[in-house]
Amino acid sequence: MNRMEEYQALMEELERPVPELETTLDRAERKKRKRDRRILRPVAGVAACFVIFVLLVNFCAPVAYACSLVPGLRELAEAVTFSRSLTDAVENEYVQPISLTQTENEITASVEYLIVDQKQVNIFFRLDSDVYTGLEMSPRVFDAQGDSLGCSILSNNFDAENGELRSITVDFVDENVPDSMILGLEVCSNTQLYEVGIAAVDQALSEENIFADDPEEPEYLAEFQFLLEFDPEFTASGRIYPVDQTVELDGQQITITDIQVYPTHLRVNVAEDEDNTAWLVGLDFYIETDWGMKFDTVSSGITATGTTESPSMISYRADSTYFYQADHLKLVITEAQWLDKDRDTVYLNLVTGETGQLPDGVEFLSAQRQGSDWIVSFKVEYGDDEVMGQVFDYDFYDAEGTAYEINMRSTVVWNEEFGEPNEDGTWDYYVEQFPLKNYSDEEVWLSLIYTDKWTAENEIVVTVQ
Amino acid sequence: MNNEEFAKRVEAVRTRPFKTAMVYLDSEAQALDAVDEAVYKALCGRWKLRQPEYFDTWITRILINECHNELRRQKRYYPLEELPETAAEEFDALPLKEALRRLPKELKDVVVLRFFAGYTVAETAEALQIPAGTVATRQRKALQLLRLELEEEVLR
Repeated sequence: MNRMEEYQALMEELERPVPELETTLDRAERKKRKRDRRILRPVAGVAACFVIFVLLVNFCAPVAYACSLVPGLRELAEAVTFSRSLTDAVENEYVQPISLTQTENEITASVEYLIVDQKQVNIFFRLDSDVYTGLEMSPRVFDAQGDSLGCSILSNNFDAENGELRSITVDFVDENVPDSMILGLEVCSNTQLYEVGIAAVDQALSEENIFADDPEEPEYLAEFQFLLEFDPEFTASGRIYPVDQTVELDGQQITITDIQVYPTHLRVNVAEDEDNTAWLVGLDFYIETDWGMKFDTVSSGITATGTTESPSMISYRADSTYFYQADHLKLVITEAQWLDKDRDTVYLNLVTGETGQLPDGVEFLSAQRQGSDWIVSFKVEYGDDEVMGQVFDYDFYDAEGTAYEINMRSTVVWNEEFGEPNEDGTWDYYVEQFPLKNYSDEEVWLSLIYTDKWTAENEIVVTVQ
Repeated sequence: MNNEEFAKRVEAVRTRPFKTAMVYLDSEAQALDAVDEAVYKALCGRWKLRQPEYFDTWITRILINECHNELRRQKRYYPLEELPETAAEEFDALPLKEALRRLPKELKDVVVLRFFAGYTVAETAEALQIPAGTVATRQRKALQLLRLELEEEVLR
């Protein structure tokens, strides 16, 4: 075969049909959606919940009644006031008492109560010691064989005193709570945490970078493992109400597929029309019974969950109606947040400050070179809820499309350093600040959590029988 | 560039990037991976392309980078040195595929796009971001080394 024959043979080889090429774009879109996924987005609302706790325990008659019936539940009632659903659960004695105690290195850990249903486990426990004060812990959970579980864990207490009842929430999105699980607690003293924190601050100051590398893990004083076995009556608790009603929000079609009511929380599940030009990333609503009692979206813990298929949030959490009788429920949608499908990232020139279109109320503030990092700051206007919400996601891109991750961020309260306060001394803005670590380019494309916020002129009402 | 336009343009250029990747990598599976990665990167950065008419050459540039990255990875395990332009006899002794792989990078980039993926001189120049005259010079050298008598586009 001479050269030209070889060439012809190679050209024929290249002309062979390759069916997989038909689906290249699908694969790219799937990969991008996976990159974009945001499964869980916890919010903090501890301070506000603390106020509710005081009101409930002191003035709520049913809670006081429940406390009087079962010894020990008064303290539990105090420990769950960050959640209206858990408060209702305790009031209705929806509690699995459990008594497990272990001691190691003069530290005693005891697990005392569980509030568990089909999708969530709330574990109430104490740490105590005559030797150490200010005990802190890092929780982990495994299945009974010691393998990882597909769940998220939230600690509900910080700075708890020795002997004080604490809790953690283990939340399952798709899977159900298993029959049993192992709870691991790694315990250290807050003095150790303080020292580690001080060392981290020293390092940050020496490097003139507040986002220096993660501090080292503290040395743990004790490690505990408890096997928690759940009463099947509790893990079977859950009611699903099919809805399948489509509503138009801000010109986009959203279908409310069903409402799932569990003792610990309520889920409103939605599906989006493929032709929508934006992904639904936030939904504000309330649930109302036929006799007028309202249940709001949760103010602490997990507020919404998504999937790997798109950046959308497809399941939204509210306080549970589980312990209340109602002939029908009304879902009233008041606000939504969108991520425009064509604006999921925004351009920023780190040298000139030139930006692409940012969400309303967000302005570029500064980009400072610190060592091999850029520290980027944006000025963000408070929304009506006065929450310091997150604008930018955890990934960013260079001009070649190479992905990088943001592994730290801080939200800074606006102060005199940035500008003058309002006449009443309040501030309309806060600052979202994060590092682009080891990033040398002058141009960057930042991922957005949302592009637009929408408020319904007239409330959108969906009735659920 | 919105999603719809992006999809249309990917549809329009699909086979050329694949042919390009096939010549570089000589493996259907690796070529598909390289095309997938290039389309993914283009999808992530589609809004950076201010002039959609350059989509074809832009995605080609991304693809060639992917192919070079893959070749660099392979080189760690299967070292394959380029032959210099002066090694005419060695090129003669190699089968065409092997000779292509051992061309100096600058010559290979040009000859792959021009004579295997079907790009014009102007498109090749745009994709590689070099002057058209340089494309013409490099393609002539490459064809000589490969002993291929293919018609060269007349530059105006």
